[in-house]
Amino acid sequence: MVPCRPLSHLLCCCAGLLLQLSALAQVRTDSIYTLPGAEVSARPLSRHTIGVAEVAWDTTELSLQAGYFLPDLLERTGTAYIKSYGGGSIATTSIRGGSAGQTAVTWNGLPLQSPMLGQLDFSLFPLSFTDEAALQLGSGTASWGSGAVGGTVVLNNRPLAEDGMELGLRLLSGSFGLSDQQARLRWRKSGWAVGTRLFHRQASHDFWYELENGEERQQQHAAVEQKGGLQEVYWSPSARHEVRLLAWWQASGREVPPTTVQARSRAFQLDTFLRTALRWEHTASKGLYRVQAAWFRESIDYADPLIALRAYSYFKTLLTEAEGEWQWGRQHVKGGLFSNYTQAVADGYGGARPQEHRMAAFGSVRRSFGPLTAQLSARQGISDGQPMPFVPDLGLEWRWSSALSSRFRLNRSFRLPTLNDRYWAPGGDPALQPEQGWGAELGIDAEHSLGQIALNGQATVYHRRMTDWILWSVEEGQGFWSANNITTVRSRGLELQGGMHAPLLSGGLRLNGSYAYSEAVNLVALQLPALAAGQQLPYTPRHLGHLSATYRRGSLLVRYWHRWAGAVGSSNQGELPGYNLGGLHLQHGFFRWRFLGSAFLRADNIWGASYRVVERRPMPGRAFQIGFNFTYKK
Amino acid sequence: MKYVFTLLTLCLAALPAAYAQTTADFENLETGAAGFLNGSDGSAGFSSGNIFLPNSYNPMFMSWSGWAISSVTDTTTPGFTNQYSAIAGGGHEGSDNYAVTFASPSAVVHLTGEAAGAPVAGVYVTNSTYAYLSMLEGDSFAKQFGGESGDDPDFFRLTVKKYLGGELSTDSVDFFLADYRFEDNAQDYIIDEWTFIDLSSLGNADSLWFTLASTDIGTFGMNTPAYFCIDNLTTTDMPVNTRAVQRSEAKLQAFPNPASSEWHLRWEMDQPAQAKLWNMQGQLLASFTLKPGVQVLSAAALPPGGYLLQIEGQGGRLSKRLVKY
Repeated sequence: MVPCRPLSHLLCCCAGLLLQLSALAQVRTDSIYTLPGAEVSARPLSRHTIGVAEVAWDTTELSLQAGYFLPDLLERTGTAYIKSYGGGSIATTSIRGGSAGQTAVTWNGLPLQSPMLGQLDFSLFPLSFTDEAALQLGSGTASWGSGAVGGTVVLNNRPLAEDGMELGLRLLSGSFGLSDQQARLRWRKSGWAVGTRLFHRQASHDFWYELENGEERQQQHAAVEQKGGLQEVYWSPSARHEVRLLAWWQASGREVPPTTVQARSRAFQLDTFLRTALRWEHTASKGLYRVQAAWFRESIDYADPLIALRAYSYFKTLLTEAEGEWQWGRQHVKGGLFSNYTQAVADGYGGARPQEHRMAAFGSVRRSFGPLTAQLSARQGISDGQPMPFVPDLGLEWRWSSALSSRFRLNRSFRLPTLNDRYWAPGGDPALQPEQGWGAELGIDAEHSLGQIALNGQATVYHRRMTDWILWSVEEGQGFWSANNITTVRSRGLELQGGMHAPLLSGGLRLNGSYAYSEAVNLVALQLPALAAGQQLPYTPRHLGHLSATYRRGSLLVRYWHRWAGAVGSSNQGELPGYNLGGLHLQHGFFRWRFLGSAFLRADNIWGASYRVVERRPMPGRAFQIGFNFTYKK
Repeated sequence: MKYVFTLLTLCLAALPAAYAQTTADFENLETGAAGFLNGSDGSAGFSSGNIFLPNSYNPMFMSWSGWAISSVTDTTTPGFTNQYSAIAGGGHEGSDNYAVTFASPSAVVHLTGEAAGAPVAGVYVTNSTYAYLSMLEGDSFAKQFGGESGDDPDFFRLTVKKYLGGELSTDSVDFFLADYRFEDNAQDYIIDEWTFIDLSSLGNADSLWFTLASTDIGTFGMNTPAYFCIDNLTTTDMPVNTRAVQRSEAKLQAFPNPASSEWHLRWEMDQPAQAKLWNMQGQLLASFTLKPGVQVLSAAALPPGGYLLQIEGQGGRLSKRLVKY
């Protein structure tokens, strides 16, 4: 157990403050207030695919995660395995046995994976910059293109729902030097809506952790400072038209801490990006037309003065997309074109500036036949003149009753090689083939009520086989590592989710639980990297479990969540043991005049587990956070 | 070009009589302003004394493998940006030059001239600065030896074998460049000086084969940087009657050399001979009969780099360096 050293006094202060707020609320229980239009949004996300298992978070849930980043949301709600290198460090995902590059992330429909690395560092995505979030499990290649193999994280922004003004401020402070400030100003009137969001966050991450022999050591050189701004402008000249302009700038400077078997580190990484998007949307009587263009520039500046290394890389990408949706009777038809032009610069490219141009056409037809809804989607693209794999996707949903339905999907998916895979010197291969494969899944969804108790459950089994899996390996007679289409991976598993809501003590209790069994095995024996045929892929847990209990009464919320991750194979000898994590969230809201506010206290890893997600990378022990939300609405 | 020839009078246990010895100290090679030679000039290797150190340089990737010659003295900068440095801070006994290799998975030294087929007395070795500091302090890939507790029984071992007649010996000489297996951690060590390894027990050899092993190993192979340095490799100049005759290279012409797709081999002898093609890792790539006249040796399937063509016949042995670009 790793003791929490500095924050017992803070805990006392927080508890006292919460009691005061609670007392304030109790005094006012006999008064009647009109709450200022709290937005609870969970509208269907665009490109919902029939047959897909999806987990969505509404604005209420997202506001509970204030100050957190995307990995925190996925981890604390139990839907994905997060491969985290430690507090504030790089975090990637493994969903349904896929690699980090096989999880797609879209922001307002635009893919965010780096074309150089093929993946997104989830720790760079603040939840305060999104209004809708969902995780679509399984292949989404027909909808989202390359990389949507294991799952797709869908993130969207939207304007203020009604005319008016909203000014928000969030302050957060916590263990390990955490200080987080967020501000947002949103305004809407006469067809115009404007939003500005800012955040600043810094933390020292100087937590204590336990070594193998029981000794304790304090993490060094792990400070993080992040800041960013998101500007949104929406203009609706009529009810049928909307133009939106989004601009998102962010800079994240991170000290790279030493491993547990490294005496010191002076490495530093600065991730900077500017993402802009312009979209026009027209709603016709029977259709919806959308055209958008986006330009991203993202850079990584890595410096390690100890080894006299400075590596600066960046890419620029221009994305354009046009799509339309039409409803004819019971048929819903969609079609579109997508284009992506990227140019990248890195020392590792040996002076070259590789460019990549991808284009794709996609479409789908959806129709209901009584209780059966079927959707057939397809996507065909070319990359630098070479055809990408044709991707069909069939989804079926059969509604047996209002409380019971089943779903089925059969689809193909692929992931194109990254620019590093193709052009890194030495080892890159421009002739690499995409990773590709077929997958199928079958699921059942049920809802049931027992008086005031509402129950829901979901079960899914899936199977996927990916060939031409790209790994960096050493070939016979070759003295360096190179990217190769070297192996085949079979993934299959079972996912169970269940929920219950029941009235309790003048409030409501919600229980949620999930369990995922993921088998992701390499099918080709490899020498270097050393992977045996039939071996589970490293950092892909077979077992993942989650449980949460949330009690709400009036403006008081108490939540406990628990997460269990099974053992994983590591990159070095041996395997990392599994771990259990628990967390507590206490929140109390209040309202006065036009002010809506809440105070919250969070405790992460409350059982003080000493664990590691990545070998030689320590994770923080027990940690506390106290925060305040203030919203002024007019 | 400066060769150091040392005539020793002591008797070697493995030899029936006293023979002249030649020490390859690499002082005949100019390392220039950069302080190292990594084959970027297309040399495909380095000769000193009676040895040849193969090198392969890829101009597209600006990377090298095999051996490099160095006079770098920086012993404080960790990491691969200081990959040419020996932790001893220079060559043996204060000399300027030494050789450094990236032995992943192995490195080979070919014996040439009068040393071909003869025993090797020994060689001085030390850690590269890159590997030394990595083991001492750890880095982002490799562990600090001893691990988190300091008690891990880690080691970094150099194994030397020989090739003779195309076959790799089973006998070997092991040398620990770092050893943390002692009960008393105070005895743990990482070599930071030039240390002599006696290789006479290997007996007659055509080439020496070096490989490294570490306890810090994972899915992607050895995490400890696979570098070490050598200097003053002493070979034995064996009389003609006790070993195979080294033919004159004039008996064999290879053209073009370097070549992109094939070499034309002109064998100017009356009798056929057995030919073997080796890569710089000491792997036998081809074995064929070399007939009198001209014949073609295809290079199409070979990666760019240096190769050694070894001819053996009744009259003795001949080695010729071939380069594929």
